[in-house]
Amino acid sequence: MIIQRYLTCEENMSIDNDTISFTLVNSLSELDTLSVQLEAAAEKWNLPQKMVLQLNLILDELFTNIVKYGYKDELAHIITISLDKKGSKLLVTMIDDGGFFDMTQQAAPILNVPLADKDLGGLGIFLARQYADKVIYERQDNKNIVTLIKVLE
Amino acid sequence: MHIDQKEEQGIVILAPEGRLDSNTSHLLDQAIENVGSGDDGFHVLVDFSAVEYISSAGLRVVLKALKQRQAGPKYFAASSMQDHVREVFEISGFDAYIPIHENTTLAITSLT
Repeated sequence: MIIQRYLTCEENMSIDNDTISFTLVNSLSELDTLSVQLEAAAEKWNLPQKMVLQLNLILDELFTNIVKYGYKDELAHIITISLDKKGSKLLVTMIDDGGFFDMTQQAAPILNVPLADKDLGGLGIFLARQYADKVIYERQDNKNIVTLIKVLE
Repeated sequence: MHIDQKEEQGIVILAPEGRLDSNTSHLLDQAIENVGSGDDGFHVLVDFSAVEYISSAGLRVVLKALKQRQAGPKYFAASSMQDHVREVFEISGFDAYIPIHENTTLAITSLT
């Protein structure tokens, strides 16, 4: 099962020296593909486990958000993720053709409220922003382009 | 995702294994729902020791359980988190609502 996944991921993945890019379709089951791809990146670049988990969380939250809220139709859509290693920084780009969504403009949730009032709206995006060192949003050709910078510790 | 389940001293201990994300969290939600929360029900302790990853989808399940059981008589508690998982709880401000016990033994002591 695991071997099969790796084979699929090799087929879908283009690797040059310092870039890994892959595509996901808009289905939550693709979260498994995401983690397999990140494990492959971790192996290639010898990334610490903590970094991989943080990267996974960032991309998971953004991807889940797109799948749940990004599309008004029932069609399959492709989400493209590229990881670019530039020295001690990892440049991560995620491109989707969903509706306009600028994560950098989302208000942070208020964390310290009584339990009864606690609402998790916006928490996923908040977590993604907490773990990214920098986030840049652009809208081009009806696509959301999110670029994140993660500093390798 | 496999969720191990056992009962000790009136506490149902649920131990999910693997990743708690938007793909799998509903399974933990269901397992918690299946444990009665009334007078003849059980406290629920989630043992996170085999959870290697949690996203906001997993936190959502924890919040739901906390809210449902907040007023008692049967409580919700958590224990044995790996560092990364604990950090996600802390960044989200969840450690204010839920005591995160070091291990299941200490959790059981505090619930009984």
